[in-house]
Amino acid sequence: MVVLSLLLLPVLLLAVLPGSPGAVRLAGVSLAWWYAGVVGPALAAGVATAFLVRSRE
Amino acid sequence: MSALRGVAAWTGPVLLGVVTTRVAAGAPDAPLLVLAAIVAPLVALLQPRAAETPHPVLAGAVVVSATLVLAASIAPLGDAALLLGGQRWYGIVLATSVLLLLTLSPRGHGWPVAALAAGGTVLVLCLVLLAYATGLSPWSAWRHAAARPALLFSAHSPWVTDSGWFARRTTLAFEEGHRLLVVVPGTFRVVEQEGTGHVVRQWRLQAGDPLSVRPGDRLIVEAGSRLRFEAGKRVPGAALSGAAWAEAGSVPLVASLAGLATLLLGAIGLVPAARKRELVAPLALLVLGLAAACWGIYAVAAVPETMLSGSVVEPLLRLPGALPGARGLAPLVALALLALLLSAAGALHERVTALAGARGPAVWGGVVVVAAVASCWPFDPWLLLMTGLGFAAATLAGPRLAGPGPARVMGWPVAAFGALAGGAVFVAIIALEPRLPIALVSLAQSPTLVAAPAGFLVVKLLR
Repeated sequence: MVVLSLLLLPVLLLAVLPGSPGAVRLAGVSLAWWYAGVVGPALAAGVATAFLVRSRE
Repeated sequence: MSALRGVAAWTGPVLLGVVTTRVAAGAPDAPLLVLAAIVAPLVALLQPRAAETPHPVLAGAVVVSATLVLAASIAPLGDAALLLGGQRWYGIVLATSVLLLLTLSPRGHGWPVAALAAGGTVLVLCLVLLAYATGLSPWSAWRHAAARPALLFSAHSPWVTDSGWFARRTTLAFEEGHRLLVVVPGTFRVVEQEGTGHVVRQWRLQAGDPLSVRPGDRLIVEAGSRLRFEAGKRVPGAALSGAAWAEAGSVPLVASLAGLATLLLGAIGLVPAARKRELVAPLALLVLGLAAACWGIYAVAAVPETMLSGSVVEPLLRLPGALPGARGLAPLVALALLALLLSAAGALHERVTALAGARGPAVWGGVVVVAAVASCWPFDPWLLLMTGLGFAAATLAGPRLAGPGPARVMGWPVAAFGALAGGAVFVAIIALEPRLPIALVSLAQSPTLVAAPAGFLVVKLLR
């Protein structure tokens, strides 16, 4: 639960920091959207799946 | 309850609609909302499994939360009926009748999962057709939207050719002069800037009357109004350009934390823990969350005015009509939203009846009737959903996170005392908000940040 919650931290920081660092473009798409739309969801689903496979009775 | 049935309470039409609308509008919190909408229920699935103690206080907390969440989920179906040319009550009555019929029927328990699978599959297939119709992948659509020099009404927009309808009271900020045409008689207020102050002018206008606004004016439109806009003009309230939409901007820290806390703890309150190898639920959350975000990106690339009405389902229903290869999909999308509502109602029904015991069917009937009546008012469904999740966070998640245990005080489980404390603080903050000092107003607008820790602390102290 803690690891999954921590995955929200980068996008929160990108949203609240002044100077809009999340607007920096990588391959034409902003950093905030790469993280919130691709990296973060994939990591979250992967972590949850791994936990459900290994840790539950 | 299986994990897939549990997450169905989360993937109702309101959350998917809000994600789509926020992305289309370029809201500063849109990326955070997309990620939180996927991560929050995943966190809930991984919470420690604990048997819920049947108690009237805990049952009441579930009933109040379920009523608010269900009302928020039914309201978009009313909007969908209006957008498809009917009356608002058609959608509400149809949705309420079908979900009462299914949830109170003694036979068949697999329909919530079937409804989630059907609704989700139809939405994803429609998204694939939209991608085919535009010829753009989601990331190409994002780049296309971000490259637009301005977000303008096209000559084919229904807001230009016919008229746009406002689901709820809305304030439109105009960056350039507009000459609007009133389609349905109504009262309109224009806030004009004069020197350093503001002047409010109010008109009662008839169908066919023009309404002119100047740059810098704000127009207050009542729910149910219909207006026609001019082609080639900027969409009021939308980002000034594609670049401004893509940049989104920064959001206040307290508001972001409050939103995150409400989503995370609300999910813990409403979505049950998963068992081993229930792997379909994370996949379903991932697919539906990203599909809603992609839909919003296609909406701003093709029809940037789809967030104008204030209805969370407008981007979902208007976008297919704007694309030559996808016309005719709107009724299918409405059916998918109905299926997602039914699956959400199935999950909530299971939570309510599990704690209400023998009176479960009667209590559930009451929940549905109250939710249906509440959804007839032009409340903001997002506000209803966040209130329901906030109440679940304060009364269910806060006490539960204090740890499991059979401890009782005066014959009551300690979780019931935690729920009472969390619920009382939550309601008190909302009720007292107008009287609080200015320094505390931002905290008062985020009652979960105070109420959930209150429920947690009471359980810790009593145990």
